[in-house]
Formats: sequence, structure tokens, C-alpha cells
Amino acid sequence: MFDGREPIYLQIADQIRTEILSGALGEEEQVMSTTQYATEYRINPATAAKAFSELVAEGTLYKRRGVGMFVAPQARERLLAQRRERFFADVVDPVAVEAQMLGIPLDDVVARLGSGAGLLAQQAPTAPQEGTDR
Amino acid sequence: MTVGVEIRDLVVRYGSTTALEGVSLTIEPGTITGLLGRNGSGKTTLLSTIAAFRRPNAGTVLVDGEDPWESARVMAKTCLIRESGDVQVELSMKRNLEFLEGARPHFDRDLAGRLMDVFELDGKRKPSKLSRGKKSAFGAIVGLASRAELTLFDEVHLGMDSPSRYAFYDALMADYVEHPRTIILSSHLIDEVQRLLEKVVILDRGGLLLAEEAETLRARGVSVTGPVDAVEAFTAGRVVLRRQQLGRTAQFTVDGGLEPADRTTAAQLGLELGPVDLQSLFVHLTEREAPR
Amino acid sequence: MTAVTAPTGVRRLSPSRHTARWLLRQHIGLAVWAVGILVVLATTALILVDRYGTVEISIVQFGRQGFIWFPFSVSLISFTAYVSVHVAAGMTRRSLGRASIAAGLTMAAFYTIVMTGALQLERAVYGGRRWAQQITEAAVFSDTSQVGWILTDLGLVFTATQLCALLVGVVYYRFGGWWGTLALPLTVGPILLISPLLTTPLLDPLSRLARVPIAVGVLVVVAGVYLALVRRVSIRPVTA
Repeated sequence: MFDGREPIYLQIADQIRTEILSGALGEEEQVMSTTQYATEYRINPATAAKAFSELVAEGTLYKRRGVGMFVAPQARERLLAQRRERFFADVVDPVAVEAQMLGIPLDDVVARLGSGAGLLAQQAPTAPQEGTDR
Repeated sequence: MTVGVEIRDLVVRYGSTTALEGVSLTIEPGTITGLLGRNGSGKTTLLSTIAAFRRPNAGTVLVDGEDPWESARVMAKTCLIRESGDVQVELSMKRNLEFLEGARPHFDRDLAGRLMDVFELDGKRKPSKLSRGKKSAFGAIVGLASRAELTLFDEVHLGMDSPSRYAFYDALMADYVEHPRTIILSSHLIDEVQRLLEKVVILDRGGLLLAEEAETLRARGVSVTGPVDAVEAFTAGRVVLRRQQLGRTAQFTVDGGLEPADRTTAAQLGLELGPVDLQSLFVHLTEREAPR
Repeated sequence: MTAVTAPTGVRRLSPSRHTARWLLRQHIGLAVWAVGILVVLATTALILVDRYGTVEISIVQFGRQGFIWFPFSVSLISFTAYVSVHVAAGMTRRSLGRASIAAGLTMAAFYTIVMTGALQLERAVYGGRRWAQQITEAAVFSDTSQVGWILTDLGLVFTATQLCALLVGVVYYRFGGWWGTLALPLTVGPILLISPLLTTPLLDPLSRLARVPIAVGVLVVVAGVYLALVRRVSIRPVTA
């Protein structure tokens, strides 16, 4: 867990966002305390606290004094909206760049998307799951 | 009550060798600081001086606001564990713990007992008869159970196998969250300890290279990969720590934060930006040969 | 050596007291053992001499050298091993100085009383058998009835032993093997000279009694030099 090369507080923040988006963490649910991050993952409590600060600043978490950190209401919706905003810049544009490098006409890309082949592949039980998150 | 350390212009010499030259830094109370550096960089000397094992030749060291040298109050709050610890090697470990219980005001005998079990040490045996790893484990136990407000571990992991080291980190974190104290951990196993750290201090050849928050340091290094010309153009004017080239592709490691605008520029140039882990950053920053 | 009333600590004894007790514990065990051996040797020697010859001299008197050099090495080794441990356990060098001297003086008193008592016991045994208990070894006393001089002589030389052991130890620890050995005439000298000091014709106008303060003065100087050196000692780096 948290073995990536990015700063750990970013990894923790990303993981919490992912859990909120996937529904594993619901509204008003309490997240692990900094102490728990320390004893479970051997991560300095200050690092976890830094992740929480960032999440509180963006409105994803809020603090209940003396109790802990909780998922803010509408957090999932807010995160989805953020993701949607960045979808084209982060996900679609690189596709265009890659296609160009490979010499694939963009019309072919559009056609493929339109055919729904990508979605079909995801639903098929034997097809390998491709990573979608960055 | 945790204690902080203030060091200003510290100079320590051993005869004609200068081990530390003009080092100034602050250790915040209650933090876990990693002390990193190549062999001979002065880590042990720094810790020894903080723990009043030696006197500075020049400069000041203040622990909890006071010069630690021969200060009964401050020395009682400080515990330096050097490798296997300075214990009475011809007495059983049990007797050693008895001694420490009388010497250290906050010594927790129960914790010591539990940790002896965790590390599979038999209290009836003497440290002189133990393997290197077990000696180090005993040293770690002494450091943890002493509950000194300022606890310094100088390469305590030497000789310990991987499971033992992780048992130590677990015990360290568990005790730290329950009984906060100021901890300085000197290690060259950066990959292993980096998550435990809040602050990082790097010494190089007797001088201070940097003192920063661990997370800031981790965000500092950026690897830039792509066509050689594009990489060169992008990194011109930046501090380049390392240059690697294979054919027409190059990967440079840069030191210094990138602005969001830079990320866009990189994308436009077809460059890939990646993070640099602490171990690699450390190696690059303390490399001896000039980058090619 | 006052008891510490640290607001946050639960330490019951001050560092000096704790260390002094600890050092004594180490030493007493060995001392009792050494005394036991001496008793066995003395008794055996006595039996043999009586069997094959005539008992004319004190046997216990030969314990003097043993009671000098055995405790000397015990205290010396104990000190050099203990310096790092003491400081590493968060205690000051000052408290080590005080504790080691207190322990040393206690051990000197122990050996003095034991040997004086042994001489008196021997006197009683010899007296019962009408054996002469001559003192042939160099000493300030010439007769075992001179209890006062026995206590003074042994007290001075055994104290010199303990203090010199500490002094030799700190010199070796601080300055290394070379200087430690070169300094031996100075650091061990007092042990060899303290008794002769009381009997030498060189100080002749002075009576033996008048020389006792001088001897004590020498020991005070030894203790003072030791304390001055130990207060500034740097803890040696770890040798793997």
C-alpha cells in the first residue's frame, strides 16, 4: 500500500477519493485516523494529516472536533464533477496524441468509440480488466 | 512534554579531522526526523554531540533550550542508541533492564518485556553472546522502553534482518502515537524508513545539505523523459541531478518544483514527467562524480 | 547526592546513588569470592606449615598484595566498561565520579575491616597454640596488637588502590593505550608509595602520626585529578 513514488500524502488523498467515488466510503462515514495510518501502514501521522488537510480544503472531508475526519456531504458528486471536467484534458486528449503518433486517423477512433466496442469489452466476464484510472 | 533541538554553526573535530563544519538546524519537538547521509557524512558525530557524548569544538547545541553537556535534567531526557546500544555486555539482558529501570525516569519494564518476546530474546543471556542482529534488537528495545523525550537511533538496524526491522518500525510507530516524543532516526535504508518520517535532514561531508519536510522532498525530484532535444530544451536553466541517455531518448532528473504551466509545456513537447523516490533523490544529491 | 524530585520522573534514587549501589553490587560479589579463596589458602598453608615445620609468622599478612591487586583490576575493568553505559543511560559524568568514589571507598573499608579482622582472628588462633605471629612483610605495623596502625595502614593502601584504579581507568579511557601506560608510574605510584610514606627516613623529623594527614592529602589529590578528568571525558565511538 502506498508504495508509489509520489509523495505519500498524495497517494493517501487519491486513495480516499477513489474509495468515495467507488462508494466504498459513503457520506458522513468516518475515515481512518492519522494514528491508524501510523499503526496499520507505518506512515507518519503528520503525513496522513497533510492528506486530510488537502481533502478538507477541497471540501471532500470535514473534521468533527474530538472525533475524527468524516466524508463531507455531496463529496462524491463534487469529485465526479471534478473528474468530468478533467476527463477531456486528462483522458481524451492523450488518446488523440497517441493516435496521431501511431498514424491512426481520428475518424477511426471516433468510429470505434461510437460502436461501443470498448464498453462491451469491459462487460465481458473473460476479458481482462484494463486499468482506467491514472 | 516533548523537546526540541537547536543547533547553530556546530563544528566538531576529531584531532585533525573535521567531522562537522558549520551545521545549523532545528529539530521540532514531537517530530520523527530521518537523518540521512553517506558513510562519513557526520551523522554519528551529530547525534553524539546532541546526546552530550562529546563537546562541540565551536557552535552551540541546545536541547530543550539548554546546553546538554553535563546537564542532569537534559541528559535524563535524552537517549542515544548506538548500534547495539551501550549496555553492560557481561551482564544478562534482564539485569541490564533492571539497571535501566533505576536509571531512566520513564522506563517501561512491561514494554521492554513485550518487545523481548517480539524479538525473541532470552533475558537470561548476555549481550556479548548474541549475534549482531540480536544485539541491535536489544539496543532498539532499550531505546523504545526508555521513553526518553528525545530518542536518537543511530543505525540501530545494522545486522537486523528484514522482519526484525519491520517489527522495530511497527513498535516505534505504535509507541510514538501513544507516547509522543522527538525521534531522530539515522539510517541508510531510506526506502524502508521514509514513510515513518515527517522531516528529513541530509548531511554531506560534514555539512548540512538540506533539512526539509519528507513530503516536500519527495515532491522535489522530477524525471523528464523524451527525445533528447526536447528534454534538453525543457530542462535548460534548471538544476539537473542526473542525465541518462539511450539512443535518441533521454531521461533527466531535475531538482526543483515544476509549475502547472510547466506540465502543460512538457505535454506539448511530448515529454513524460514522473516522480522521483527519496532513495534516488538522495543518491543523486550526494553523488560524487559530476553528471555526464 | 540528594534524591531527585523530578516532576515527571518516578526515579526513586538519584543517579549517583543508583550507580554507586550498582557498582558495589558488582564488586561485592567478587570480593566475597576473593575473601573465600584467601581463607581457604590461608587455612591450607597454616595446616601444611604446622605439619611440616613450625608456625612462626603470620600467614594472613600475605593477603595484603592480593587485596591490593585483585580489587585494583576489578575496579579498573569495571570503570572502563561502565563509562559509556552510564552516560548512555542519561546520567552525568559528575554523578559517575561521585558514585565511583563512594563505591571505591566502601570497598576499601570492606577490605580493611576484613583483613584487620582476619589478623585478629589469626592472633587468637596463634595465641591459643603459642605460635609466634611475626610480621615479616613490609607494613607500617610490626605487631598485630597495633590495631590502630593496622587500620590506618590498610585503610590508606586499600583506598589508594581504589582511587588509583579509577585514575588509571580514566587515563586509559581518555588518552588511549600509549599515554595510559606511560602515565602508570604516576597513576599507580600512590599505591606503592603510600605505606612507605609513613615509614621512610626521608621525612624523618615528622612522626608517623604527623605523616597520616600528608598521606590522606595525597589520596585527596588522586581523587581530585580523577574527578577533573572524568568530568570532561568524551564517550568513545562504538567498536563493532
